[in-house]
Amino acid sequence: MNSQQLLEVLSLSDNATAIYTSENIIIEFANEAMIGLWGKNRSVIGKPMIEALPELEGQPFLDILKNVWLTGNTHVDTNAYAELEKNGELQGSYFNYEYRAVKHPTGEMRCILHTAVDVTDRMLSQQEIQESKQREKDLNEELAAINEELSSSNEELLATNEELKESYNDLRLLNESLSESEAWFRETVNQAPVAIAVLDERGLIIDTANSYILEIWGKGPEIIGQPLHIALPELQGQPFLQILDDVYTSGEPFYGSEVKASLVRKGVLEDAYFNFVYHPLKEASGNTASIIVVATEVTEQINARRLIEKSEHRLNRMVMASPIGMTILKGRELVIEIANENMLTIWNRTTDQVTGKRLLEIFPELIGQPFPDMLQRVFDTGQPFGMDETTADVDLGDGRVVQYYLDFSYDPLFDADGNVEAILATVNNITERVESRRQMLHVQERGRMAVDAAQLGTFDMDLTKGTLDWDERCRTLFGVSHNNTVTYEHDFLMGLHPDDREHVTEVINNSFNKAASNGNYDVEYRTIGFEDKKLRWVSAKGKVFFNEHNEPMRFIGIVLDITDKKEDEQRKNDFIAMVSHELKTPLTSLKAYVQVLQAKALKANDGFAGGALDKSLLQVNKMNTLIKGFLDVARLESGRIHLDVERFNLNNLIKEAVEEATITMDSHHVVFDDECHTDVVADREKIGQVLNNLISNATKYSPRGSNIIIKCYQDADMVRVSVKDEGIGVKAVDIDKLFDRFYRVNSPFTKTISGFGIGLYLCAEIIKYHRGRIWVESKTGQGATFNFEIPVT
Amino acid sequence: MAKKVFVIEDDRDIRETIVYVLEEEGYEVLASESSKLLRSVDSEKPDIILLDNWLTDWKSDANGQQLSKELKSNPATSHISVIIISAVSNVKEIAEAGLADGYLMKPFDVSELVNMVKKFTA
Repeated sequence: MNSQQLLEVLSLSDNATAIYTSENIIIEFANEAMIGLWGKNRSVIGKPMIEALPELEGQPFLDILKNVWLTGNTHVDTNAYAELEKNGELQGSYFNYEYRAVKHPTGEMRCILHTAVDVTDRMLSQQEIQESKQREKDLNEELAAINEELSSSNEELLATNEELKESYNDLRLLNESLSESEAWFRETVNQAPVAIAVLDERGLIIDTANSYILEIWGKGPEIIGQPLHIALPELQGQPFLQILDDVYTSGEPFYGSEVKASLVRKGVLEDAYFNFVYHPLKEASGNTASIIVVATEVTEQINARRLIEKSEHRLNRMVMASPIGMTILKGRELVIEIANENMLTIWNRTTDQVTGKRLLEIFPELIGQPFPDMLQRVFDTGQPFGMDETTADVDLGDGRVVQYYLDFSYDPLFDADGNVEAILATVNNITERVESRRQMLHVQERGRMAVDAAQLGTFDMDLTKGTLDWDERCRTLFGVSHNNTVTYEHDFLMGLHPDDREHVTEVINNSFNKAASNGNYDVEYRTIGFEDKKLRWVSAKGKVFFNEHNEPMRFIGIVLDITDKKEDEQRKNDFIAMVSHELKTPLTSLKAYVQVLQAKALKANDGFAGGALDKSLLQVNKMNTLIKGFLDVARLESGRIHLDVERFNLNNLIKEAVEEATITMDSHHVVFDDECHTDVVADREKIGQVLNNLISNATKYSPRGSNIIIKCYQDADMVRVSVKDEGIGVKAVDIDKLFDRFYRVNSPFTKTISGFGIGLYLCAEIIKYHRGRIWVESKTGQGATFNFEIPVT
Repeated sequence: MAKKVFVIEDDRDIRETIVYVLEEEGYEVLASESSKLLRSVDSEKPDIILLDNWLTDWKSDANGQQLSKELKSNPATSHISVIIISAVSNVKEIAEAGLADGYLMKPFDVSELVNMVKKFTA
C-alpha cells in the first residue's frame, strides 16, 4: 500500500485523523472528521499548525507535537482539555488523542499521525456524576415543585401527592445510602401510587414507567426501553408527541387538564381523559435530559359530567322550545337559570332581567303567596307538585299588578346523587280562558233568564254531528211531551204544517248559505202538534254559525208561540177581506149597470146621460182601487202574497202606466224621461201596481198643471225607477215612516187629501218581496222623488 | 143554434146583469144562485160556465175553484169552458189552481165579460 492509498483509506475513516511533517508541524493531511473536530475547512491543509489553528497558541499541543518530531517518541493523552475556535467562538472540549511518531526504517522521522476522539460528552457526564449530590437535591426540589403544581391543578391528585411527598421523604432517607441517583429515582417512580413515567432524551425513550402508567397506557413492562412513539403507536396524529418535544426544547413544563387521548388498551382503541404534567428534568447545564410524566385518568368523571351536561342541554332546549311558560329554578335560593319566551311574557320581563337572579328578588310580591312554600316542599320531598286554575298576583314591573289564573307544575330535577338540585316550573297562563269562561257563564245565565222571561223556546242544531236539541218549550210548540231525541227530518219537518214545509225548508237553506243570508234566520210557520194535533203559529229566529270554509256548523235559535197573535190577525184579515168583498159585490153590479146604461145612452144619443154615466164609472173605479188596496193589505198580513214572476220589458210597463195616468188624469203632465230597455224578471202586475200608486200619489200631493217626471235606469244588477213631483215635499220626520201601514202625514195640506195610508205601505211590501229597496228623497216645499230598485233577475 | 151559458152567482143584481148582457149578445143563458144548477150539466150540455168563486160560505175561497176542478177533471165535462169570477185580487191563481179556462175579477167591465165568453164559445 503506498502512502497515497493509505491517505485515501484514512480519509474514509470516521476517526478524526491528521498527518503532520517537519518541525513546524505542517498539516499534510486531515480527514473530514478531524477538520470537523477543529471546526475548520479544507483550506487548513498544507499550512503550519500554528497558522491553521492560531487559538492553540498558549496551549500545550504545539510544544508536544514539536517534541514528538524531535524525539521520535509517540505521545498519548486522555481527557485533555482543548479550546478550539468553531464558527468564530472559542469552545472547550475534551479529547483522547495520540500523536504517533512514524519513522523511516532509517530511524528518521517521517511524519506524526494524529488521531483524536472527542470525549467531551463523556467528560461532562462524569462531571455530572461528580455533581450527583447536587443533582439529587435539585431533583427533589423539582419534584416537590411538581407536586405543588399538581396539587393546585387537580384536587384529586392532592391526596396522592401527599402520599408521594411522604414517600419522597422516606426515599430521601433511603437515598442517603444510595450512590446512584438514577436507581433512587426509578425506585421513587415505581413506588409512587400515581402514574409516572420518565422519558429520556429527545427520542422519548421510556426510561421508567410504573405500573399505574402502564395500566393507563394499557401496555406491559416490555415497552420500557422503547421510544414512546413505538410503544404507543396510536399517539401518531395526536398532539402529545409534539407537546413533549416542545417541553424538551423549551424546558418549560406543560399542564394538561381533562385532555382527551385515544389509547389502545386491551387491543381496543378507547378515548380517555387525563389531567397530566410533562415536567422537564434538567442537567446542571440547564439542558433538558428527560421528561417526567405524571398523569391521572379522569375519564369517568368527565363522562359523568358530559352526560349531565348533555341532559342539561337537552332539558334547556326543551324548556326554550316549549309553547307554554317554563323556567328552571336552581337550588333553594330559586335562582332563575333559564326562562323561555312564554314565561318571560307572563312575567313581563326580559331574559337579562331574570337570568341568574333569585325568583323572590325579582318578584317579592310572591312572598306571602303559597308558591315559595310549595317550591321548598318539592326540594324537601323530591315529589312533583302542581295545581290548576290557581290565582297568582304578579307585579309586571311597569306599575301594573295583575291577577293571573295559572295551571302550573313544579317538577324536581335531581343531581347525580339523587338530591333535588333544581325545579322545572311549568306555567300555563289561562287567565283569558278563565275570564272568558266566566263571562260566557254570566252571559249564558243572563240569556237563560231572558229566554225564560220572554217564554221563548230554544233549539240547537249541530250540523257536524247531525243532532238537534229542543228545550221543553220548543217541544210543546211541536206537540211533543217526551224527552227523547228529536231529529230535523222526523220531528221538525214532519211537525210543520204541510203548506209551510216547502217555504220553511227554503228559508233554512237560505240561512245555511252565508253569502245569501249571513246566517240569519227569521220565519213564521204553523205546526201541527204530534200528540194533540193542535195547530200552532210559531215565530222562529236564529243564527247559523259557519266554519272558515263558510260551511254551516251550528244553527241556534229561539221559537215563540204566536198562535194567539196570528189568530187575532187572521180574524182581522178575514174581517177586512169580508168587508172588501161585501163592498165589491155592490160595486160589481153598479159597474155593470153603469156600463149597460152607457151603451144604451150612446145608442139613444143622450149626451147628458152619457156624461153622467162616464163620471159614475170613474167614481166606481176609484172606489174599486181603494177596496183593492184593503184586500191586498189583508192578504199581505196573512202572509199570502204571491209573486207571479215572469220576464217582461220594464220600459213597456212604465209606458202603459204613464198612458193610463194620462188618460184618467188630465190634471198633471206625466212625462217618461229617461227610458231603459231592460228586461226584468218580476211580478208584472204588482210592479205595475207600485208604479200606479207612486204616480197617483204624486198627483195627490202636487199642484194641478205641474210635472211628474219618471226616470228609469239600470245600475249593474239592479234597475231603478224614480217618480219625481213638484209638490209639497216630505218633512224629514216623515221620511222614514212614510212606508208604514196606515201612516198619514199630519199637516194642514194633507187633511183634505183622500186615502187610508196603505198605498205606500203596499208598494214597500211588494218591493220587499222582490228583494228590492224603496225610498224617498225630499225636502219640505221642494217636491219629492220616490225611488225603487229591484234586481234585474 | 145559440151557445148555452151557465151562470152561477149568488148576488142577484150581478147575476141578472150578466144574464141581460149575454142574452143581448144572443146567448142562451141558464143562471142560478147556487151550484145546484151543475146537476143539469149532463142534460143541458152548456158550452161555458161562469162560476162565482165565493158562494154561500164567505169564509171559503175554494168553492168555485173546487167545482171548477171537478168539472175539468171529469172526462165527461172537461170539454166545457169554465170561467171563475171573484172579487179577490189573486183570482188568477185561484182560477189556475182550479184548472179553469179563464177568470174575471170583480168589478169587471161588461166588455171584458162579453169578450171572454165570445172567446171561449167561438
